[in-house]
Formats: sequence, C-alpha cells, structure tokens
Amino acid sequence: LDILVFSNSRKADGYFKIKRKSNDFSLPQIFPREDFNKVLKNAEPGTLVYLDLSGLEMVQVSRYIRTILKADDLYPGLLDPLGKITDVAHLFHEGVADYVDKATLREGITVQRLNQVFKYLLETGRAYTKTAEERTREEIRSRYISSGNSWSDVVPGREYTFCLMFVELDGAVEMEKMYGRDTLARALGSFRSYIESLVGSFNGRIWIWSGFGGVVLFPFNLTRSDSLKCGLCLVLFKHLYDIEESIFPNFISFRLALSIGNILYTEVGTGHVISDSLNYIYHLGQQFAEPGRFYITEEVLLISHTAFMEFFLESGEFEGRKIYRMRLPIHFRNTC
Amino acid sequence: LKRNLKLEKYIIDALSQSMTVHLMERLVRRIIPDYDLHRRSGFPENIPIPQVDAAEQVYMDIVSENLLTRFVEVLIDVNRNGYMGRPVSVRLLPQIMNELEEVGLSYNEKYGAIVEGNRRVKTVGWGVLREGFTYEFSFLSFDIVGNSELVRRYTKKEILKGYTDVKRIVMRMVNKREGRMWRWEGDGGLAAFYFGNKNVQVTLGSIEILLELFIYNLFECPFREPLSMRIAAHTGPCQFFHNVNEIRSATINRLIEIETQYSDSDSLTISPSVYTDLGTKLATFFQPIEISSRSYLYRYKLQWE
Repeated sequence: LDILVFSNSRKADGYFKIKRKSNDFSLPQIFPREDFNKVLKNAEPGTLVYLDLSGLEMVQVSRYIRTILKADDLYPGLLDPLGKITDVAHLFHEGVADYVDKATLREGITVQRLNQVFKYLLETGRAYTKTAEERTREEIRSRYISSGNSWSDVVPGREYTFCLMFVELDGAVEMEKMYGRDTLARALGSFRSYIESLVGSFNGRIWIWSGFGGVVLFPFNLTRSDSLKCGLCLVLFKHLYDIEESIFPNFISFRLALSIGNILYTEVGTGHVISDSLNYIYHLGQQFAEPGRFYITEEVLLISHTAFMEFFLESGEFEGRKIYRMRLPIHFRNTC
Repeated sequence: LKRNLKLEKYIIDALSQSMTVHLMERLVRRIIPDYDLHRRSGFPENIPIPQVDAAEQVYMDIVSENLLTRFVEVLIDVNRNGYMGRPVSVRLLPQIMNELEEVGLSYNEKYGAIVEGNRRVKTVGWGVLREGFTYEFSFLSFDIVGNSELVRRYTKKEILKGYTDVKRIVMRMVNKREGRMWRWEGDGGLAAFYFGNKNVQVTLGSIEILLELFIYNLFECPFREPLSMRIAAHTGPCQFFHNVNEIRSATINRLIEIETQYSDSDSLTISPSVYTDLGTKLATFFQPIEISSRSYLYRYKLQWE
C-alpha cells in the first residue's frame, strides 16, 4: 500500500512510526491539505489516504471522505489528534478504513497497525489486488536503472536504462543509384534535421547516425517515457514533412523500432559501443521491421499510456520478445 | 507607422544616393501605377528634378498613401534582383531594416514581405494591410462539433479547459504559418492567411490542427469522449477592415456555407479554388465530394488501417 497523509500540523511527521519502506507499505508521504485534490488525482490504486481532522468541520470531513471513496481503490483513514469525533462507528459506515485517536497518534502508527488495516480491507472484500499487467509492469521496472527525467541526470560512463529508437530510411540502395551524391547528402541532411527536431521535443537525442538513419535515446525514469508518443508523431506527421520540408521528390518511407534496454552511456565513440540492447534494436529495425512500419517490444507498450493499446497489433516474436506493430494512418484517398 | 525621422532620412538618402530620378519613379510605379513625379513635385516637365528633391517627394507620397512597407519591399527586391537586368545596389538598406525592426516590423524571407515581427502583438492586418482595400485571402473556418451537448454534460471548468486547449492548438498552427485569427467565438472561429502560398498554408495548417487534435484527444482531453472539429477552407477576395466585425464578404459567406453545410466532423473540407493550388503531393490527401451536379468540394479525413 502507498500511504498519503494530508495534514497542516507541524507534528504530522511524528504520527507514523515507520522509518523504512517494506514490501507491503511505502513510506508515508505528507502533504498540506491544500494539495489534496492535486495529489489525489495521481494516487496509485490501493493507496491509504490519511486525513488530519484538526481544524475541519464534520461537513468538510464527510466531503473529503466522499472524494476519496469516489476514486477507485483509495481508502480513507482519519487522524484525530484533538479527539473531535464522538461517533467513530459511523465513520466506518461511511466507508472509512481506519480511525486513529489522540492516544494512538501520540504513540505513533506502526507497521502492525497498517497490517491490521490491510487485513480489515481484505476481510471486507475491498483490498486492491494488482492485475497481472500491473505486476508485469513492476517486474519490468525492477530490472532497470533509471536514467531520470531529463538528460541533465545522465552522466557519461555510467549504465542506465533508455528507450532506444531505431530509425532508417527505406530503399537506401535505390536512392544511391537515383540521386547524385550532393543531392542525396542534402536530402539526407534534411531528413536527419526533421528527426532531430521532432525527437528533441520529446526529450530524445540522436545517439548514433550514419547516413540513412540511426539510433535515438530517450531517458526513462522507470515510470514513463515520451518515446512511444514521439514514434506515433513521427508516423503521423511524416506526410507533412514530405510536403513541406523534404528534398526527396517522392514521399519517403522509413522504418521505426522501439525497445527498452540498458546502455553504458557514452558521448564519444558511439559507433564502437558493444551492447546487447543496441544489437537488439538494430536487429529489430533491420531484420524484422518491414518498410514504412513502426514496431515496438511488449515492454514498451506496458510502460506506456493505455491509450496506445488500440493502435498496436501483435506481430509475433523476435529474439524472445513479443513485438507489436503500429496501425498506420491513412492520409491518402486511395492508398496508405 | 508613426513618423520616424531616422527612417525618413535613411530612405531619402538611400534613394538619392543609389539611383536616378527616373528609376525612383519606375520603382514607385510598381505600387502606385500612375505615379508621375513631375506632377506631384510641381517641377515642369522640361526641368530635371534634383535627386534629393525627388527622393523627398517620393518619400512624402508613399507615406501619405500608407505604402512605406510595400516600397521597402520593392527596394529589397531590386537590391537583390536588379532592375530590367541591371544590378542596383540600394545603399543604407541594413539601416532601414534596423529602423523597421525598432517599430516591430521585419522582412519575412519566406513570403518576401514585411510583416509584424515576433516582438509585438500580432494585429489582424499583419501591420501592413490598408483599411478598406480589397485583398486575396485564404480563410480557415472551424467549429467544435456538438458544442451544446458538451456544455450540458460537463462543468464550466472542464469546458473552459477543453476549449482553451483547442484554441491553443489552433492559434499555434495559425501563427506558425503567418495566419491571423480574425474571430474566436468560444466554440469556433475564423483565421485568415495572406502571404506566400496561402492555399497550401491554410491546408497544411488545417491538417496539422486535425492531427494535433487527435493526439490531444488521446492524452489530454478532459472529456469522456474525444473532441471533434469541423474545418473548412476557401480562398477569394475580401475587403479588409481592422475592425473585423465590419467585414462583409461573399468569400467568407461561402466559407461558412461550406463549413456548416458540407463539412464533416474530424475532417477538412476545401473549395475547388483552394484545391487547384495544392500541387500533386498534397492534392492526393483529398477525396472529391460531389455536392451537386458537377460541383465538387474536396475532403481530408484521418483514417486508420
């Protein structure tokens, strides 16, 4: 269980006697009551939400309880340092999961107490159990090393987990035959600029590039990454690039592939990096991906926003990982 | 433009030091076709006008006709491309541009025109259109589908957030392509495009709005269902007024008719006059729709395989 505490009291730090996070409970996080709505919006399912009653009218207390209960799988608990509540049983009828009186608060809420609350929720059939998908997500996260929210957290020479995106223009051989060296160089430069500018707006950076494509890295903080949204935009807005900026006379086609993996991050000699994750993304992009398509590993889909689900279809396995393919947008009147 | 003594001096000096009186007159004729320097200055036909006097007269005339920025565009053009095959080097052009930038105007390379720079509030006439004159515009009209239903189903706060977000998306696309919002009516509006290849700009901008809205609906929309928009584009002449509420135009009326009667949700519908300007690549995005015998509109709609 996650534990959130909303209190404006300076003594709130002392209400809990839990000093270490365990497998069952996170460390309590204390917020001022003003942040109630904002924090509650992002609370994980199965969170115990304690509210300090000091300074609140009973009408307000009922409103807070209702708000907590309205969210799925959040459990209200009440902290009563001033002993204001006379009819405690009534609170439980309203759906409260715990009530802590003045004397217990003075002693401090213990892990045993929280276990009792959890047992009570189980017995009343309200305890939140994680779905298989959520368990897989947690398992994925436990294997990786956060590269933080931005590039400022990434130090060369250390190993981190990144989202790796492979991007490469299709038909390289034909292009080399069709265009003169200078024209091709200019067209490829314009393509690289397009990729660089679009991935840049999603916190991505080109890490390796050679002529027709390369690999882009996105920091991954173990919770979320914008890499999949970036891939979606690359596919969706490709045709506007074709019309407005591309130097190639025809509509271009490129393959995209996205996976998660660990990399010993370096800023120099990226062409000589030896890494399983890097090999994997190159193999996925060059051996598995079909022209004009975007592929991702299952792990990417699981750590991403659920809204992506409907745009990706199962597409078999590659080197032991389940692969999904993006449905393509149809912009044109006859073909896609 | 307010009177700017430095700019006045630079332009007069530039003219008098860079070209003959005859060339000055020719250049002014590009924007005032019947311009006659002798008649305007009062010098008899048989007496040559001194260069400085001619330059001063030209400056006075273009300012009184509110054509200063257009004339500077002409100077930039001849400085780059010469006149009738002869090179012309216009002196003090950088200083003239600096002075224009001081008042918030800048030369847009892409459109070959002087427009409001980024520093100032953008005005409906780009800072250069003249009151009461008729220009060729491309227009974009858009509307949030099912507004009344949304207003009934959601709180004021949710509506405000959703509609403000849509406005942000539309404004970003319009500004990116040097368009101007002429009307915003809460659940819809009208934008105008004047420079460059305006039919391509209005079309690409509209497609981009639809794609951005799709992304917005996936990740940010505060409503339980996706927000839908209807967009239409049309081009034609329109008399310009700074108070856009005063503008009455058959082009805009036709645009509104296309938007309200023939457009579909989550789609862009364009008139044949816009379609014919698109070029082969962009034209392939559009499906013809027959609205009456031999009369067509063209529609783009994002679909998925």
